[in-house]
Amino acid sequence: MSAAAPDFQRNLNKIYGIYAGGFLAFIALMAVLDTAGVGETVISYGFVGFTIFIYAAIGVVSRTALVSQYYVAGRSVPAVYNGMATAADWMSGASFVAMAGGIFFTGYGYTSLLVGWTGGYVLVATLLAPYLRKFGAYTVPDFLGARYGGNLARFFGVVVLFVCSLTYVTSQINATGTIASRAFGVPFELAVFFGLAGILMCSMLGGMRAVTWTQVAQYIVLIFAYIMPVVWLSIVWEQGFLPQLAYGGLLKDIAELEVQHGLGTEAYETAKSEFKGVKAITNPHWLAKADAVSLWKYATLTFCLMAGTASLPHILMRFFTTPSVREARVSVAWSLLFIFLLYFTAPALATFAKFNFLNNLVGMEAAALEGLNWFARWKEVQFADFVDLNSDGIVGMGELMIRADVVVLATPEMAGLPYWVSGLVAAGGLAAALSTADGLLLAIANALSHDVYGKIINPQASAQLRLVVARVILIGVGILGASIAALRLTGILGGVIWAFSFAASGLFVPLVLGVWWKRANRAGALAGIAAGFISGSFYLYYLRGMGGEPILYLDHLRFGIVGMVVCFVVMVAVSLMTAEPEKEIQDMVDDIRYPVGEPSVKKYLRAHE
Amino acid sequence: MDKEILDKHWQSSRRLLWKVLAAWFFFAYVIHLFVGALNEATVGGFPLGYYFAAQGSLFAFVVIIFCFARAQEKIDTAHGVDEETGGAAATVTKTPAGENQ
Repeated sequence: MSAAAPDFQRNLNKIYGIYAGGFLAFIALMAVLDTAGVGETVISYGFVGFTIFIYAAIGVVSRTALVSQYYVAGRSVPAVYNGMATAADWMSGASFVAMAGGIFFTGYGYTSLLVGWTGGYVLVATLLAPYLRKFGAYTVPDFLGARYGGNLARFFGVVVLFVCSLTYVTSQINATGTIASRAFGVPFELAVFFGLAGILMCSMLGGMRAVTWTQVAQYIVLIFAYIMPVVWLSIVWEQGFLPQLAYGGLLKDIAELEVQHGLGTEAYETAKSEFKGVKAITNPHWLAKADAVSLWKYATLTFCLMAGTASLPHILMRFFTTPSVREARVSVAWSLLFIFLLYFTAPALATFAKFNFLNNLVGMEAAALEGLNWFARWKEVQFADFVDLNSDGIVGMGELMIRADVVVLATPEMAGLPYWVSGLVAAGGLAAALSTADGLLLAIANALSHDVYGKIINPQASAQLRLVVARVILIGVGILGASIAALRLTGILGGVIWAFSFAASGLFVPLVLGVWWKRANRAGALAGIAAGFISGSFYLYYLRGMGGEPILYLDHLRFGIVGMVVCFVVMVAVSLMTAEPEKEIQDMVDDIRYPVGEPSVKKYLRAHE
Repeated sequence: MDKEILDKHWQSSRRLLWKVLAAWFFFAYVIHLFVGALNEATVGGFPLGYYFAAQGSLFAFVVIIFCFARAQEKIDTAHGVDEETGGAAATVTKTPAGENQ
């Protein structure tokens, strides 16, 4: 099997070129079938079924029996491809489906998520990725275990990793279930397990190696599915070929329309929908509140997300797969560029949707709105609603309500784009959710199989046995995640942001200080991780479980700030009160600073024996 | 390897880190503190404060990381600790490999 690897890797450009071409041809085929009138079911099945089939095929072809292939893709993924894989790993169902809707409803406040979810990569590139790559770990807890002398630190790392990644993966399986249930017309609880089967197909046989190459394929699908409809909209609405630069002109118009429709005046009333999650516009589209409290909330949320980015194990471990330290650094830059392509399109889409909403829908006659095809369709699934508050027979801004997801899912229909575009968007959303779920599941399963089983429980296990255990754990964690997702505990976005705060509370400080502060020692790290993680989690419980008032405006999305501050103070204090780390560890910290030479962990293990 | 060269390398690396983090801090925090004032100005139709939050800062981060990767690579090569020339250059001669470029 592994004999096929070099061939495959030498021909990456060719293979993915053919793949992208094939995908375009498939879209064209769907477009032709759609025009010929084969019906929407065929188109939905076609898009979702075809893409899942491709991912599964890549997953099977990339199967492996080698430990280093399974855990770090043989450390042979070129920077640009690792960038694409990281971008797919990163951009979840939430980024794809909910982001534009969030900007649509929340306005300026939501841009703190855009800044936070991109700025974190500067921290990844400068503080962590190259050094962890030189260290030569398989997993993030691997680094903690070696740097902080022993299996206890490793185990603490696994606990934090498990909580933050499981919080995150649950919402991704939820998103795959939502899309699968709509495409195949099966109940959500069942669709969740369909989604899981798709996820496991990609990762089970080939581990990191298979996930890497499916994620690259998924990135191509998701970025095309996101940008193409927006460019098309832009052309239909006469805004030119570059919507990302053109939407500025609409912002002032939107502000005027908002005033015209009474936003922010006392007379402005919004209707209530009986459907869950359906709401009317209540915030200005771009106007920012610039008082001290708003700025503080903006900055704290941004920081939580950035620190979380730099400590989420499924992202950090992607940079373990590059051939060199140099490529790890460059790869972070490519990752962010590929992420940027979607993130700078989202506000354009939100702005077009908002302009269409205010200019064309608000102010029309109620009967005409009810007669619109797309409105009837989305109302039927409880994603859109209209309540005539003042009974004047005209659609008011506060009377027309949609769910945030509708901005991405239904805007093509609103603009009269053909149905196959919606099929493409569904395939993109599925790619986004699948790729993130894959990365997360693998991060959890690898930590449990490599760190807990391979290093703590049974260090003598053969490579063969370790891989079998890794796969069994992967399936187990997947079923656990799907079972939790089937309970529908949180919305897609809430779960995602909590994951960032969990990761930031327990991992950010020990990882950064582990690289940058030689004096940080075992006692400090253990105390810091425990104190940070427990205090962050308790603060979340205080807010949500006990109904406590936020301290310093730090609400449940920002509990990572509390965890990080506690973690930092405790870790520094305890480190200084106890003896400095042994010489071998200090030498290892020195060694990770220089890209040249063999992995630092090897030298350390030799010196240690 | 020569301890002195390694120390110099780390000194340069740390200096680079502070520069990069300063640029990051500016685009991540400082600029958004002035969103009210910046929104008074318009560029290409965009109120400037909104522009930076929705696009400008994001693009700045991309540029910052590419520049960082290149600068750090130069530092590594100049001190002979990079992965390509490093192994050979640092053990055979102690002259920084990057100076020949």
